[in-house]
Formats: sequence, structure tokens, C-alpha cells
Amino acid sequence: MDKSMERENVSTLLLEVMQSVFFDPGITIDDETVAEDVNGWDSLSHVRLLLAIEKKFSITIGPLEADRLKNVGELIDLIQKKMAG
Amino acid sequence: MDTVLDHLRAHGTRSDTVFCHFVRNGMATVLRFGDVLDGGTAYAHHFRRCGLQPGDIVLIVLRHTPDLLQAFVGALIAGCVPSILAPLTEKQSPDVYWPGLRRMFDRVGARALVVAAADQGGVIAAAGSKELVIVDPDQVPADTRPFEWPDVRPDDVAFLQFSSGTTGLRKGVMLTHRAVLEQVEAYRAAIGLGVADRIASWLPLYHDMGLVACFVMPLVLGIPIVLLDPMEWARQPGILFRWIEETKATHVWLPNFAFNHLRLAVGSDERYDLGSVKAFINCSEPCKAATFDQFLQRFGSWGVGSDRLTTCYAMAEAVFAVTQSPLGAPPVRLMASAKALAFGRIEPGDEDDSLVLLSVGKPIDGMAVHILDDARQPLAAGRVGEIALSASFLFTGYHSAPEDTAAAFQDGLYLTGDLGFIQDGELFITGRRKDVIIVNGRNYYAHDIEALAATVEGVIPGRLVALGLMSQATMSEEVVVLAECADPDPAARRAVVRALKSTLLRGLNLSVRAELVAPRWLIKTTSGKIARGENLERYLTMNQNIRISHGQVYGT
Repeated sequence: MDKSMERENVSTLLLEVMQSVFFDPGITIDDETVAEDVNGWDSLSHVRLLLAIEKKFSITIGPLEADRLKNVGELIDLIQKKMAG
Repeated sequence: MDTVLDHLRAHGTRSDTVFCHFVRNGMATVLRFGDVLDGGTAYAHHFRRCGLQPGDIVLIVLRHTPDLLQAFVGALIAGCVPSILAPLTEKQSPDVYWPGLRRMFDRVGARALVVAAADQGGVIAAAGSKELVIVDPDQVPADTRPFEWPDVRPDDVAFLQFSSGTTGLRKGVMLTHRAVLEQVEAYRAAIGLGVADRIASWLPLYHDMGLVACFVMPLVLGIPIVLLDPMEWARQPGILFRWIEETKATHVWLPNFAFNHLRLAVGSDERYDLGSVKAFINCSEPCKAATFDQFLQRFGSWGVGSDRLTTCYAMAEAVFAVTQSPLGAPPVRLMASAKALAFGRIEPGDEDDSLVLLSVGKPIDGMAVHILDDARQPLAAGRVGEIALSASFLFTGYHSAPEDTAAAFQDGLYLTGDLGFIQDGELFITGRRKDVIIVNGRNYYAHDIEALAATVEGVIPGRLVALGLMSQATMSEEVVVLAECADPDPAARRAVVRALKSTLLRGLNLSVRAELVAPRWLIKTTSGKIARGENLERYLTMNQNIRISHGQVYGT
């Protein structure tokens, strides 16, 4: 995985992960998207989403780090930071 | 040995034997039978000091702590009638949660509420009555003085199990000591549960499967258990497997969604030996053949065989189990025509029109299952109708709700509201008559969801519906709330959708799919009610692309 991936590319790949985890190809996201905007995003699927993200981007996200995220924009930033670092 | 108390008393002779590994934050507290009885005795003394008498209702609203077990046992020892209720979660609003529970407390005449000090703020504000005794576990002193156990009779109510739903309308299922012990004996025989077995569970004790199968039954029989924190399990499902491996657990109960969650969320770097498990028992939700196949594909090499994946049909009104598929063999599968099933007929399917139905097994000893038509007359084998039950171990009624109790029975048969058929003695569940949606093993009434959703601003009054659909993502039912909204502004519509979701999450601890539709989109009956079935059909027709199957047909 390219460690210096552009933010837009991260966003695109994240969208693919979310569409797969939530079984919904119609999902759209932007930086302001929160769990309540995405059908099927509950506490159980959140666990599966994090696992899928870790696998897709070859990173590890701690539970506390995940809890602090306010929206998808912050999730993308975290993924980018982890990949760079 | 006529009451649960007789069995508890008998455990006094084996007080050093381990009963429970109570796991929190990855650490296990070992509870021996002596610990459970001593802790229970301390609670019993405290309940008496607080003025509680035999027959008084004690409601227990605790998070995952050993006090859950000890308060329940203590109430039994005191001759009181305990009931464990779901605690407030961080997502729920205390302003909705406590007043709802309070209405229920008042209706059933509860005398005591066991709740931790940290969680008491809301309940005291909501109480407004001096009659409810609030018991803080930290204020219950250790007290192992002998307690004079009351004279409890087999037909006395042992405990209550409350249905979920809007708290004010929840029904308390009354279960006698006799019914509990008869169920335990019949079910124990059906699953071959013996003293050498062990049970591992993450299930909450406010759920009948967690309470009866994974706590009361092993408590009566003296079988060791492992109890995990449900919240911890959801985040790290692999801990269930770790404790199965650690304790060589033999019996594990899981709702259908949990098989799916384990398959998808146990990490690829984890590996466990599950060879000790004689039965993973799929229960409390529609059992899916595909779920078993996928679970087997993922964990087959970990010691799980197809003969270890079994099914059960259960409900609180029967104490727990109604049917169970035999251990040591996969449940029977039936390829049926989906089109014929939609009309209540069972016909062989073909390549273009088939679904796999999974048997939930045969009735356990002492249980008779009847299939009734719309006029509530018996139907022949192979015909789909309402499932009705007769058994000596059914509940005796809903507490303080004689009308609900009367409506639940006809000619001595308990009407389950579920639809199914019997073939070669095996029961197959095909759907549901009542408007109940089962999400991750928990029952929700559609009208409760609709009532709460209707409080959201921006929804046209009286113009919304809650539907249950089987989700391929969760392998459980998913609630879809369709609401009419006249505002064309995208930002405003987004706010309404968020409000619908957060209102239901805070009020019912329920995540839903919320969608707005145009004014007059929803179909109403001639009497002006929202027509749930027709709106479901309309929604499915318009959303062929989303991978959700019809909620009323369980076989797909």
C-alpha cells in the first residue's frame, strides 16, 4: 500500500470498504458524514468496519482512537496519518 | 427438589466448586457456589432489612458485575420475585429510559430496584414515589449469618421476564418454580447437558436465552459457566472463542446475527481450538442455513463440524425452549418454493424458485406444538399456520395484565404469534403474525418504534411506518423507518433522517435504516391505518438493488 496516498484516494477506498461492510453500494460520504447518516452503521458493524479498514490499508486502529473520531473526515485523516507513519 | 430454592440449598454442600468465571475487562472473577450463595444471602438479609417480603418484586438493573447473579439469587432466597432488566447504555437518554421504566414499576407494583449509585440519578428524579426501595450494591454489607429461607411452593412465581419494547407497555412473563424446573429437566435431556459440561456465554441476563439457558439452568443443575460482558464481546467477539478454548466449553447459545458477527469480526490473526463444543445453538432469531454454511467455512478447521451447529425455537412464555434440533446431526433442511410459501403452502422448489428452510427441531419432552389456521382450527402437517403451544411448563400469565394474558391463550393453547409448519415431526418457522421485529435477538414492537419516531419534527404527523427486513449485512432483521416529509431542502431532509435515527437510538437503543418518502407515498387502509404489509411490498419493489430480503420469509 502506498504510504503517501492522497487524501482523495483514501476517501475513495474508504467508500469502497463501507459499501462492502454495509452491503449498500448506494452509500455516499463526505467529511461531515457521521454514523447516523449511514444506514446500517451501528455498534456491531462499526467493529467490522474498523477491521475492514485495518485490512484494506494495512494499519492498526486502537479502540480509543476510534472512539475519539467525530466524523468520516477525521477517520480519513487518521488513516492517512497511520499510513504515513 | 420442588423449587429452584431446593437446588440452591443443595449447592451449599459444594461451596468450593467453581460455578462461574465472570469475565470483565479481559479478567475473570471466579465465583464458587459458596460465593454465589454467600453473596445471595447478604442480599436476602438486606432485602428483609428494607422491609421486603416473600412475593415482592425486585427489579435488577445492573451492568455486567457479579452482583447481577448475587442480587438475583438473593431475591430468590428471600422468596422475592426477581427480574433482570437491560441497563441504560451510553447511547440512550436517561430522560427517556427512567420514566419509561418507572411507569412499568408502578404498573407491576415493584417493591425494590437494585441499581448502582452511579446510575441512580435519573431513577430518583423519575420516581416521585416513596414506595420503591432503591438498593445500591455497594451498600449491601457482607452478611453470612444464616438466613431463614421462606416456605416457597412449586406454584409460586420464581421470577419474571419482561418483554422488550416501549418500557411502559412491557409485559412481565410470570414463571413458577415448577415451570422452571420442568423446563430445565426437559431441555437438559434434549441437549444432553450433564455435570461434565460447561457453558460459555456473552448473552445479557436480561434476555431469556442468557438468563435461562446460560444462568438459571446451569445454576439449577450445578454446571459451570463462563459469562462475558456483552459490550466487550461486541467489540472483541474473539473473546468468546478464547474462553471456550480456555474452559473447554461444550454448549454455546447464539442468536443468528452473532454467528455472522463472529465470522466477520474475529481477527485474521486469531486462532482458537473450538473442538470441545458439542453444540452451538442458534436461537432467538430466525435461523439461517446460509449463516451456518458461512460459519462452517470460516471455522471448520478450528474444530467446528456441521453436526455441532444446532437450532432451537424458544420464548420466555415457555420459560425457554420449545423445540431443539438433535445434537450430533445437522438440522434438517428443506428446499421449498418461495412463491408457494407466500401463500402458506409448502411445495418443492426448483432452480428458479427455491429457498432453504432450516428446521428448528422437534418439541422437547412435555411440549406439544400445534399449527392453527386463521379461524384457530388445527391444520394438518405441511400446512403453514400460527404456532400454538401446550405444556405444563408454560407461563402462568403476564403480571398485572389480565387482558393481555386472556388474549394470549385460546382453549389452553398459548398463541405465539409466529407462523410455521410441521413436517415429519420437525418444526419450521416461516414468519410472524404479530408486528414484532427481532433485531440482534431483541424483540421490538413496530408500533413502539413508530410512536417514538412520530415525535420527530419534520415528519408529517401520522405518516410513517416501521418495517422489519432481513439484512444480508447482519443476518438479522433490520428496522426500516419510512417517513413522509414535505421539505424539499436536502440539508433539512438530512437533519430529519439524523433525528429519526438518534431519537430511536436514544429512546430504544435501536439503530434503524431511516428513509424519507414523498407526501402520500405511504399506503393506508380504508380505516386510515398505515398498511404495513403493502408498504413493505412497495418498498421492496422500489429497492430491488439493495440486498435485503423479505422480512416475512426466513428461509432465504
